[in-house]
Amino acid sequence: MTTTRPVLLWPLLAFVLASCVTINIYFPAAAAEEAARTIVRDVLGKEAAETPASPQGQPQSQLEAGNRALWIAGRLLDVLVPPAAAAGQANIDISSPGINSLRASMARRQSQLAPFYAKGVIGFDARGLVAVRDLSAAELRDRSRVKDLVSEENRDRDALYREIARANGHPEWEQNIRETFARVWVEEARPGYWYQQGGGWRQR
Amino acid sequence: MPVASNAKRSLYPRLLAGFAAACLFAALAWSQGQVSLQLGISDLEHEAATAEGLSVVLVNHGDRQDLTIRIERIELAGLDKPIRDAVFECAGSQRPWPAFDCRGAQLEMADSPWGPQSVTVDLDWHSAADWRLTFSGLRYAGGRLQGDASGKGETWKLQARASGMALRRVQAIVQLAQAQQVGDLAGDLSLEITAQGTLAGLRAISGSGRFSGVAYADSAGEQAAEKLAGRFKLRATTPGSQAWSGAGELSVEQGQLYSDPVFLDFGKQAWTLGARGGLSGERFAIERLKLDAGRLLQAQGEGVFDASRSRLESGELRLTSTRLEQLFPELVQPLLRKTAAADLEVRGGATLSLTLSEGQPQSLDVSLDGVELKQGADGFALDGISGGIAWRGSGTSPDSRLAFESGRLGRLRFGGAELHFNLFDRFAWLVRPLVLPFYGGDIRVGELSWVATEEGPDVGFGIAIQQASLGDLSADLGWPRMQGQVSGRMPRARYSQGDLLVDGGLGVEVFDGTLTLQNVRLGELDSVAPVLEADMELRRLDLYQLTQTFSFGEIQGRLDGDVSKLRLVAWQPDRFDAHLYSTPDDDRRHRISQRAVDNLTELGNGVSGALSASFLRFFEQFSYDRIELKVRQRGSRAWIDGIPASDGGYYLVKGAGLPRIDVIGRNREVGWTDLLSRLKSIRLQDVSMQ
Repeated sequence: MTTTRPVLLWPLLAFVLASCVTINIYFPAAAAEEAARTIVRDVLGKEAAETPASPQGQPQSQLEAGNRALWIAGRLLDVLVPPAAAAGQANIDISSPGINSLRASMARRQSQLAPFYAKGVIGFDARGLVAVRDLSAAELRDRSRVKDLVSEENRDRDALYREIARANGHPEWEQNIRETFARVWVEEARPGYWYQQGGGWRQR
Repeated sequence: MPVASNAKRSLYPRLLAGFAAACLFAALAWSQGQVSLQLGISDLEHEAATAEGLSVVLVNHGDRQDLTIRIERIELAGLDKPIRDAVFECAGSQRPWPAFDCRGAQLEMADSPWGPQSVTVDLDWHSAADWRLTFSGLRYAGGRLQGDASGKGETWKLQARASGMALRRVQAIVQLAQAQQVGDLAGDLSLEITAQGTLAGLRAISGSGRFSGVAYADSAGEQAAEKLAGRFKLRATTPGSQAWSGAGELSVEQGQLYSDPVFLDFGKQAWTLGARGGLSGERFAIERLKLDAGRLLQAQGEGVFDASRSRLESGELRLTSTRLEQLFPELVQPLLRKTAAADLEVRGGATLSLTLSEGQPQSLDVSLDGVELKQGADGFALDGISGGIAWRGSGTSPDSRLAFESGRLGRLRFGGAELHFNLFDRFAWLVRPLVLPFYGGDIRVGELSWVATEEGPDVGFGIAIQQASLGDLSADLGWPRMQGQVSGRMPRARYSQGDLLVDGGLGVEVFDGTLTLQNVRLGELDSVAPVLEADMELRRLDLYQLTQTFSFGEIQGRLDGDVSKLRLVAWQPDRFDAHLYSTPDDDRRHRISQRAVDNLTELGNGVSGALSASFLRFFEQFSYDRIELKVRQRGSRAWIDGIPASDGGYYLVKGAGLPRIDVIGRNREVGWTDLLSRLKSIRLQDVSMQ
């Protein structure tokens, strides 16, 4: 038994290595964030916060360096195993007619939404949409209008995320784009605006 | 302590009867002269009340008597707090016992559900069948009550007036608010009430009152009011059973109310709601309902409401408004959120009649007079609408007829017409073709059907345009003024869930040729970025008419074209493959003017002045063999091609005869916006002539 174990081990290791396929995540996160920031700043206009953007180029995920041996093994596998496909960082095109129309529509609506953001009536939710936070903070005569505005804004936002994914030839990116926007809306929000995090509301 | 639900109604007569019995018992030991009588009772129990530590002291001074009643604790059903240390002192009665009278008697309570009390009472007691008392200074809910009560035989009557009561301390109002899940109650209430009854219970009640500063709100902010002020009155009688009949009226004259999604400002328009009817068990029969909101809305109706099932069993409602421009945005439009009518403007007057049975609408009749509809600045509009709409939920439905004087769809105008249709259950359909005058011709809607589904309306229709003048039509669209007429037809189209699908093709006769759209799909119509997908086929267009219309220069001959995979988003090109080419076997003369040559070179990214720099500038026109242009557009990029040339370029115009001129493009890939801008302001940049 002791003599046969290495003999069996090497073919097994070779089989495992040959069976491994590196799966790259194609979603161009940095480009998407840049595109989202461009659109969000355009929509929020002067309302946008003068806060710096989050650090660019941060890895989307990383291993804790606690297990050095595991890290070395991972690097070795990365060298030995060919990637399934190239993972080039594509640009995100936000110049399609649909995106332009939606941006313009949202920018026009922003002046009506801004007072309600400031009063805490509405805020940004975790899905890249606008949610009613405290309807009671609005005047009675404005409450129906608030709901209308939120409904119209969310219809545009849903269409925007869908259209960006489609215009870039990757409808499957819609959820990634939505998540990117959800983060950027909050980062670009003016101080005092409310946003949802962890199921609760927080204020910038 | 279990208490019957009707105990409260019979509480006070029974207590009075008990008090009379106690006095009668005490009288058995009564004698002449200054004698005191003291009666102590540890507990008295009744289904509506319990009393502990009761004592009665009666002092006879000979010419007058003094009465003192003390009760340490009284618990009344329905109240969460007892009355403590109640003392009633009545001095100076000059009536022979057991009759009694006193002026300025005092009823003191150390504590009660409404706080400490000090009530002044005038009492005139002859017997349990003949008595009268007046009271004043009773504190209740932050206000003061005063009134009088009397008994005659087996009947009694109570009249009371209260002012300055805080709504948040009125038990019945608080219970109502809790049932409606609203809080933050505020406001004051004043009322006058008269109640009459027998020892068996209440028989009639009437009253009126005013309220002011009324406010409430629920936690979601969807039910709220501020500063409501108004008045109410009520009268009701019962023969003694569970049946009541009566009438009531409520007027709200000030303040604002929001009941999601409707907002009402009573300061701008007071509302008065009146009803007359009867209550039997849990069935409320409304014999007459009247709502008066001025010119904004008048309503009358009747019906039967079953409280046990919370639904209107049967009813009829008639509404009249001469101010739809105010009624529609305030009351109707909030209910149409997320529908196509959300941004509709309506003006004029209308009456509506609705009948219901078993909780379901059975019929609806609407009469319109001089109504105007308008949707956005560049949307849909109809003017001068009059006629009647009838809908039935079962049986058969009479035909509806609407006439209008004129209309608009976007920038396109159309004339008046009559619309004959039928509405039944979830269906609607045209009973006669609709013919709209349209730029000298007409638009004919041969069929139209509409079905309400759970996913939204499902609409099918067929439409044809006949001999419309292109001149005014193109001018209204802001296009160069065209000559000729346009005819076309869309035999069958279907709109469902925001998408419009055209079965077959949409054919238009234009420029002496035909334009046919196939595989048309119009999606996301409720978005600001609608998507149009189609394939387009051009056949035998007269290039002379076409180029004259667009001031392109003059080209003679015919043109065919195929535009496939066309996709417009927000009415802007997003993708297409276009191929325009001289009609094969065209027997017309093929001539092209110098200006048209110059302009065509623009598409080849050419250099200006080459033509005018040569001797060819002396020729106004040239012969050509073929014209061909291919454009493939994808987003921001476009690729241009034509007839393959031997040197790697491509012909846009392949010349013929002498002098011969060829226009050859060299650049194949261009920015789409750049190409568009060059089309809009044509400049010569590159010419290759051979």
